Order: sequence, then structure tokens, then C-alpha cells
Amino acid sequence: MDKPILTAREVTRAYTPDQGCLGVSLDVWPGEVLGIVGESGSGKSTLLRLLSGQESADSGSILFLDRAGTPIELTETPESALRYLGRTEFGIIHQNPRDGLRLRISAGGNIGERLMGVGNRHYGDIRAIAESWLTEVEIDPARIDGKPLHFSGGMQQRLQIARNLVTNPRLVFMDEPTGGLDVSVQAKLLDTLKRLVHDLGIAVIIVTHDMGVARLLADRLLVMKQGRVIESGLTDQVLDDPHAAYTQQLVASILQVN
Amino acid sequence: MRRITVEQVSKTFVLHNQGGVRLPVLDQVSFQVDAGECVVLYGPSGCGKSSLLKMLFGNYLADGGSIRIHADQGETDLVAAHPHQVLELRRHTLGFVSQFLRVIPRVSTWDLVAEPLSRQGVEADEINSRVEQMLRRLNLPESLWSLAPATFSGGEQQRVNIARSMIVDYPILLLDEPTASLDAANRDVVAALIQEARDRGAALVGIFHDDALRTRLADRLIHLEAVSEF
Amino acid sequence: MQAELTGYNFAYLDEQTKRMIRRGLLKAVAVPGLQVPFGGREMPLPYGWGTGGIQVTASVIGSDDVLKVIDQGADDTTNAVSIRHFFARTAGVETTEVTEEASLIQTRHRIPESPLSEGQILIYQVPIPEPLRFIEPRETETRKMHALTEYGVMHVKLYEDIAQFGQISTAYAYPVLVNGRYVMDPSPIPKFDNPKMHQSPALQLFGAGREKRLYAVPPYTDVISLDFEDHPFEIQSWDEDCALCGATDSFLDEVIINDAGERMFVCSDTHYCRQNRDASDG
Repeated sequence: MDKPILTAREVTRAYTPDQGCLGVSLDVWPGEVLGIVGESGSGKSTLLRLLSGQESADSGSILFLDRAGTPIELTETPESALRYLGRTEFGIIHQNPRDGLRLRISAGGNIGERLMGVGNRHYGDIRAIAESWLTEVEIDPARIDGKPLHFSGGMQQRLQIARNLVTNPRLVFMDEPTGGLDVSVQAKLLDTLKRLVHDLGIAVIIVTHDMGVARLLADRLLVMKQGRVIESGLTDQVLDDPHAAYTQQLVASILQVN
Repeated sequence: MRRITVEQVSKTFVLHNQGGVRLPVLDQVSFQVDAGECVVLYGPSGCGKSSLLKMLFGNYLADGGSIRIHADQGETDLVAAHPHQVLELRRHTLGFVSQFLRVIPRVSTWDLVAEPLSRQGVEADEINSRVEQMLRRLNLPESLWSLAPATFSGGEQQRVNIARSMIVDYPILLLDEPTASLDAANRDVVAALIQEARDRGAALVGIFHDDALRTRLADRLIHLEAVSEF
Repeated sequence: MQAELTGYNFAYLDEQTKRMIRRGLLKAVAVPGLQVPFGGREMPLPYGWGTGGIQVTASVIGSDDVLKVIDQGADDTTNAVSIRHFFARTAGVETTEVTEEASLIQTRHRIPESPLSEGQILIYQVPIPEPLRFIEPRETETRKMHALTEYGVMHVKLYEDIAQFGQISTAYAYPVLVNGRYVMDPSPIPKFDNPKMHQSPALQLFGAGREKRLYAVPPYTDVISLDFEDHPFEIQSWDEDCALCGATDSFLDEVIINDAGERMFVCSDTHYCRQNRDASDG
């Protein structure tokens, strides 16, 4: 708890000289939710892919502290080890469930895949764990043999969460997890996410352009513009007392409800 | 025992999207608050009372000076603190009672009020008895406990918020017009809660527009004046 | 026996092609279960009829080899007969239907019932060499999964079987782990034949013509069928014996024998069945 789980320094991946992710530094602490906000094209999704090892940086350092407390420099880690980390220490929730689920494999199979990927070979155990995770994300366990192809968007997103959390990852990356959902479904999902994050004490990096989502979930915020972090701080401080011109603009554009 | 030391705090809002207008709200403000006293921020509308209170909570960031919080675990300067230190202070030391409840979808009144205790790791049995006691005291009918406050009246929402922020015995309580829009009976309950907090040794900083209440609670007034444009 | 054709190189393929394929086979034997790409040639029969197996056979066959060809266990189906004739005419080799006499056996969808022995080579015709293809369409990704032994998804397939049917219903092309390293598609042989691959004294070569892949299992190599602890691998069994030879230990085909829908079960391995009948007649 006394050390960041992820420490990024001057991480750069430039698509053009002023596009991509430019010299970003950040720390993620165990159990905290770090929000990354900014408009489309500001580099927030690129940053997420870099930090989660899905894309490699041109320069900079990304240090991850694994379960055993061993520091791992992700930029120098071979793909095999990165993929293993991806299955054990990380979770990745994609905006589009189609990118994060196997739509023609049953819900139970989707959840069980990571367990089987780390060597679980007991059908009964896998099924029991899958059932309990369905309950955890508020999907009727009777749907365990249903294919996500026939699930609603909200259910697909819940299944994606279960599929990721089943191996107790310590750091979860979320890219606009409520992106394509109806407002009412969004609220329910956010509530589930908030509860799980709190109960499991996992660290989360969440990319969103929805300030409401950021306010509800994130402890801290980074505001990105044109590939750079232009403001950061406590979520309510950044949103209530924004300093940078761009952040003020972002906050001013939130629809006021009530 | 000293709880808050404010030194030379200034704050100017710069509205970049309105032609870079500069709104100075506080200029070189200094004061201290001790445990067991209730200090009231006093001054005309627009003098920065609310902004100052928010700075004491780490919600607004001061431009200069220092705001030292003397917690049981040690001293932290909010102006220079890392967000984690601020969150830690909010978990154990700083309570903020405001007029507005930020409604969280689907979370029940009970869970909302219990949350600050569970974040501190209090035992479930104790949480349950304290939450029930608090909700009863604030005259929130039992039928509302399992509901999310989104549909409640303004007064009910405010009482949920008061219950939530006063359920923990924070060493420092920041009160932003906690009784606005409450009826007389509930105003008395809240005033009594505030007095009890002071009696147990909490340092209180408040804004009260209600003269009677201010007179009843204030040990000291801190006069703030509107900062002239410069 | 038909006359040997003239005007063709021995066993139809040119020597350069055969050398290229043999180099691929050497690599395949050296790394059991690894899929090795090769420059597949156009053969005088369509894809799906055994072009991969034929190219492998053509590359390893010598004039003193004795060739047996089976299709679904039978020596006398069109495909088996054609391929046997093809090599009889282009290589002039001796052919046989007797498993024990053959030095090379090209097969589609079966492993002979009679135990194979050292020195024999079994050549499989393979339609889809990639066992991960059902779940991952990208070749770049499946190669990576093999390289990193990310085989969790193979069990997802078996999990789906049990979830849907209460048991592992995959009955053919049942995935195996070769030499503790590569997951391999054993070609569409019934899972009944899977145990015969394990520690087999014979060399097993696999050729996929359309996908242009070779792979191999050298003699005496571990070949383990994937399963769950609580749903162990099982082979098919029948309540019936072979209606012709009475065998109780062979893979049976169900044959409808008249318009009334009457049926009987007979050995799929025609040579094995005849051998049993000859023995009991004798």
C-alpha cells in the first residue's frame, strides 16, 4: 500500500509529432481508481494501451509491481511475459464487448477461459466459480450456458467484467466501459463497478469522456489534451476547481441535471 | 489543541473561457482553529466563505499560502499535499456537511450513510446500530431507508447528507449552511448534533446564514471581506 | 497391377520439391507437433482429396517400399484405390492391403486396428491443421498462442461440450498435446484412435495440402488427449460386436442394409475385419 503499483515516466508513443501520447508520467496506487479524461483523439486510449502492454512505447518507462512485489519494467518485458501478466495481474475491459468476449462461447466458457488459461483443469470447479461470478455481476446464473451473442449490451459488459475479474487481477484497465449503453443501464453498471472495485481493492485505470462517470468512479483524474497531461488532481478538485482552460471547457460542457 | 492553521491563503479564479477574466476571492487570509471550538466564517455574499471552506476540504486548490491540518496521524499542508494524503485526511479527519447531496444512482440511503464507516473498517454490527440511530434522530422514516434518495424531497436529501457526513466522529467538521431548507424541528436536531460534535472535541468551521443558529453555535467569527479587483 | 508410367519423375513430384518437403518433414520430426509450412504443389486431384498426404508420401516413398492406402479404414473406397493406383503407376511400388506388410500407410480419418511397428510410417491426410482455428481465425495470433503455449482456449472447447451435452462430445479431431509442448489436431480420426498415437513405434507424418502445413509425431512420443480431471478422456464403445467378424475391440461403422431401415455394425478397418474372418474360417 505504500508504493505505487504502476509507475509511468515520460511515456511516449507519437503517431505524428503532436499526436499520440507524449511524455506522460503517472502513478497508480493499489486500490485506487485513476480516471483519464479528455476528448476523442487526446491520446487517452493510446495511453491505456501502452500502460497495459497492448502497444509498445517509443520511449519512457512503465514499472509494474507484481503480486510478489517484484518490479517489472513493461517496456523491456517480452511479449510472452506481458501476455501472462495480461491473464493474471491485469484485466482489460474494452468499450465494445465484442472485443473482450467470445460471443459464440457460453457465458460460463467466457468466464472459465482465464481459469483454464492459468491451468485449472476441473470442470466442476470452473463451473462453480463461473456461477458465483455471474451472481457477482448480477447476471442470472441460469444464463451460464447462454451465448453472449444473445445478451443485451449491459449484460455483455457485465460478463466482460466477470471474465476479467475471475483471476483476481490487481490492475484493471477500462476503456469507456459504459460507452455504448443506455443511461439507465450505465448507472447500474457503474454501481456494480464501484462496488466491485471497493470490495476487491483492485486498482483501476479508467478512460472516459463522460465527466459523470469520472466523478462517480475515479479517486483522481488526469486531463489529457493533444497527447499530454495538462491537469491532474483529486477528482472533485479537478472538476470543481479546474485550472487549465481546456478543463474548464470540459467541465462547463457537462449537462447539469437537477 | 490546534487542528487547522491557515496562513496567507489567496485564491483567484481565472475564467479562461470568458476572456481570461480574473476573479480574486481571497487575499492573504490567516486564522487558526482549535479542537472543541466552533469558528464561523462571516461576511457579505461573494466574500469567498464557501471557497475557503472548500479549500479546507481540499476541494478547491489555494493559489498560495498554506493550510495545515493537524490530524492525529500528523500534519499535512493541503496546498502542497498529494491527492492520496487528501483522501486519507477525508477518510479519518475531515468531514464536510453541505447543502447538496450528490445522488449516486441505485445506492440506498442506508448504504450511503454506512459508507464512511465501512471505509474506515468499522465492524458491521456497530455500523448497523450507528446508522439506525442516526437515521432515526434525523427523522428519516424507516420506509425510506432502503430507497435511493434520488426521488426524495430537498429536505430529506439534505438530512441523508447530514447523516452521512456526521456519522463518523471526524476531528474536524466543515459545515456549509447545514440547516438551509430544513424545518424548525430538524434544524434543532442538526444544531444539537453540531454541539455534540464540538463537545466531544471536534474543531468546527462553518457558514451559517441563520442568525439565531450562528449566535447559538459560534465561539468566534472570522470576518471576510470581498477582495477588491486589482 | 497397372504398368508403370513413363515420362514422369519417380513418384510424380520433381526431386527439388521432394527435397523441400523432406526438409520440412525433418524439422517437423525434430519439433513434434509443430506446424511447418511448405511450398505445396498442384497435384492431379482436387484439394480435400488428399493432396497433402500424397505429397508427403511422394517425398518419402522409395522403390522398395510397400504402400497401403486407406480411406475411413477401408482399402477399397474410390479415394484409397485411386491413390494406390497413382503410386503404383508413378513410382512402380508394390501395394498391399495388409497392414503388417506395408512400410508406408497413407490414411484418411483412421489409424489401422492392427498395432503398427517400428519402421512403418503412417501418413495422414489433413484438412485443417490448426487446432486453435475454431476459436481464433487469425494465423498470426494462433502462431503466437502456440509459441507461448497459450492453450486455455482448447479447454474452453471441451468445457462447451460438457456444458451443452453433459460430456465431451468431440468425437473426432480430438485435440492432443504432443511431447508435452504443442497442441495438435490429429486430423479427423475418431477419438477412438487417439490412444494409438501415444508412444507408437511407427513414425507419424501429417500433410495438409490446401493449408500447406506439415507436422509429425516421431516414434515413441507422448501424445495425450486433453481432458478435465472430473471429465477424463474416454473413447467410444459399442453395445454391438462387428456383424461380420465378431470383433469386440474395433471401431464400428453403422451400415443401413435395406429400405426397412435395418442396420448393422461392421468394422471400419476392412483389412482387420477380413483378417478376423479368415482366421475363424481357417
